[in-house]
Amino acid sequence: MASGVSVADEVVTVWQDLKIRHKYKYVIYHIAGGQVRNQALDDVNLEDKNNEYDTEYQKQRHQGFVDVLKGDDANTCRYAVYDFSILDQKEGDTAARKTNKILFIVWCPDTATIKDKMLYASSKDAVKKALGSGITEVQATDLSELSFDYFWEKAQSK
Amino acid sequence: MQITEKRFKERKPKYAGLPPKFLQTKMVAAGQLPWQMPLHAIATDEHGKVRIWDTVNKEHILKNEFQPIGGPIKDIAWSPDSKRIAICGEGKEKFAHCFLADTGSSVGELMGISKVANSIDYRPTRPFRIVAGGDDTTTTFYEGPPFKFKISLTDHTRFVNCVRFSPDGERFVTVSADGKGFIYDGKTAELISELGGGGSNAHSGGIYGCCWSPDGSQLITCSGDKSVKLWDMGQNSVVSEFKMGTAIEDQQLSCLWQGDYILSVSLNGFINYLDKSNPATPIRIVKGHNQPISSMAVTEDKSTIYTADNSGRINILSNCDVISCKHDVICGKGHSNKVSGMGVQGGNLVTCSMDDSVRYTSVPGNDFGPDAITMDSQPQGVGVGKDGLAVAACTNEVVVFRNGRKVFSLPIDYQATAAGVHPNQATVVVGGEKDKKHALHVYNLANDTLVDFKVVSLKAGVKAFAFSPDGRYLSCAQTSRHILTLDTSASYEEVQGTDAWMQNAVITCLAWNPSSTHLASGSLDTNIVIWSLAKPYDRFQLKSAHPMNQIVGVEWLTDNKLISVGMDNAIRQWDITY
Repeated sequence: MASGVSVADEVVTVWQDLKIRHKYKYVIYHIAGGQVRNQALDDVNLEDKNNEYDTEYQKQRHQGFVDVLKGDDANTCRYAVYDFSILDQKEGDTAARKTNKILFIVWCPDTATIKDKMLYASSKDAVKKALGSGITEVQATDLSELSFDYFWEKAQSK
Repeated sequence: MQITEKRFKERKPKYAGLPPKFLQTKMVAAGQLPWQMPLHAIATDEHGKVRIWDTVNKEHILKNEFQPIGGPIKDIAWSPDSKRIAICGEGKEKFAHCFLADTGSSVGELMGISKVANSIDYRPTRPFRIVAGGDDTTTTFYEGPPFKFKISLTDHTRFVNCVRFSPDGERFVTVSADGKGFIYDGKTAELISELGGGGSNAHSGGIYGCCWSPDGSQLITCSGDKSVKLWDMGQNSVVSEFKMGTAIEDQQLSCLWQGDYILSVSLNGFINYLDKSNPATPIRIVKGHNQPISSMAVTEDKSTIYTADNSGRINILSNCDVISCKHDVICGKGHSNKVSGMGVQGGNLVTCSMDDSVRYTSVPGNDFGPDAITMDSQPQGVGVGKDGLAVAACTNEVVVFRNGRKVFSLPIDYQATAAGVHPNQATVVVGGEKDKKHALHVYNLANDTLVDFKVVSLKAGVKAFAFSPDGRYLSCAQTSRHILTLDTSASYEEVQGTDAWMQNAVITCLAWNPSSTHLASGSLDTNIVIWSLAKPYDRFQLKSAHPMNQIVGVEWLTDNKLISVGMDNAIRQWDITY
């Protein structure tokens, strides 16, 4: 908002489906024409449902997400929301809990133009507020911060 | 089903001090259906708490209390069946929420708002909808329940200030700081037209509020261009324009159409009763205090009460039967800070304020005098005598005034707390504190000069003085909860047997009744105590005279009529029979 960028209606509508109905695995946003818009989204399929807490399967799924997010040259900024499934095991727990965390990813690679980085950083608040409460923010600037393990760590409850 | 709503906001401008205690109160009366709950009132405050009270039974019990968004709430709406409440405001993570009044559980999530939401409304007919507008310049529309984001409307270019459904739910109107209004379909949120057809803006300034007439045929809008407009919603045209003035204070911040009455609230807090048949002059203007009252004075003939508040505004209440009184405000450039003391005698109203000035205002009249007398230190209290005499006790001097001019100044080595003038005009008393020792300093006044007469040491500080009208006694309100009464005829000796705890906290004000038999005192403990010198231990208490609020002034109109003012901004009249 500070940048004058507004959030398109489609963002909120699709986000509702992701959050309430778990219809999508992830949605990637970009800023186009002064608005935050959906760039790519991925439906949850039957295979996803069956393997929701299978770490190996999720890693594969994650790789697919990263490929779409970073694009061909890995120097364009993006936002994304990602319905991340983890097995949460805190100290003292006997068994891991199956849980889902919605992550809000701000992907600003070091190689992106300064103009882009500024634009995405200053519009972040508007998007996050429009999506409402209950999301965990993950800031990523290089590929190591897009790794499955990094997300896993962020998604764990404190 | 009958619904009456009181949508009433006394909004402060963004640059003015503290937020009002209640941002607004709305009431919904939903009767006639057998399954319906009793009447409920809801109110919200700056902490974002929503409180729901029972209004039908004798005891208005607090039914529920919620804190839905964790920040100030700006607007609130009941569902027509009195089951759900929608609120919006300035939360940390969310800006709007809809929940069940019974349990507080959420009815969908109102998302898609990215800045403070100013206004929300609930469609009064089925299918239910919620519409909210805010500082992100968009209006968001939800379908439900459970409510889900449907569409956002981006016709406005500046803050959306008010959104309201028509009583039949067919349409809703949004008004904004860009001076425009838009009319949408109540069911689908399709744009029907711009308010006024779109040729020019609806108002030349930002629009702060709108309200439908109960039959839905007309609409009022109020604006920062200092006017209120009445629109015919069939023709989409202006019926009449109420021009409220030209000063900044005449901006209209909120409006309400309640039954036959059309009300608007000005920036200075005046409430205007507008007259449809005569747009030029309101039927009635209610002028009150917006800040806690800090002092009070009553004229000798007991016809007029002056009250002053923390913002420096002074109100006049003339024709002193509080029930049938006329009220007005002293206009012009007055005090810029809390008025800490005031007195009225003859044609002079003398006030001292925390802006380090003393003012003489000639009364009756409602204009501040041309200039203020600037003091070297802060005046703590003022005592007023006849023939234009006034004595101000300042932090490091005692100053004598005569007809608005400083005539004498006595430097003091203690800190003065209060001042009083004996009815014989020859003695002045000043309460003082030095090194945590308290004393009453008595001075003789001759030829406008103060001469030391006596110092009476006290156990606690003095907050206020009251001389009995016959001049025999002086009573001091003390911080120790005591009232000390001195006999002036016996050179200020304490009257034995009167020094008792009178109240449960600091005593703030005192007054003798006209026949000098009874004394009334008010205190921080919210009680008023009345007692007589003849039977000092036989006291009569008015408990919670100003509930939850400190009492700042008491005065007698007659032996049987007592007036009190409190921090709750109320002036109360009590009938006393002995």
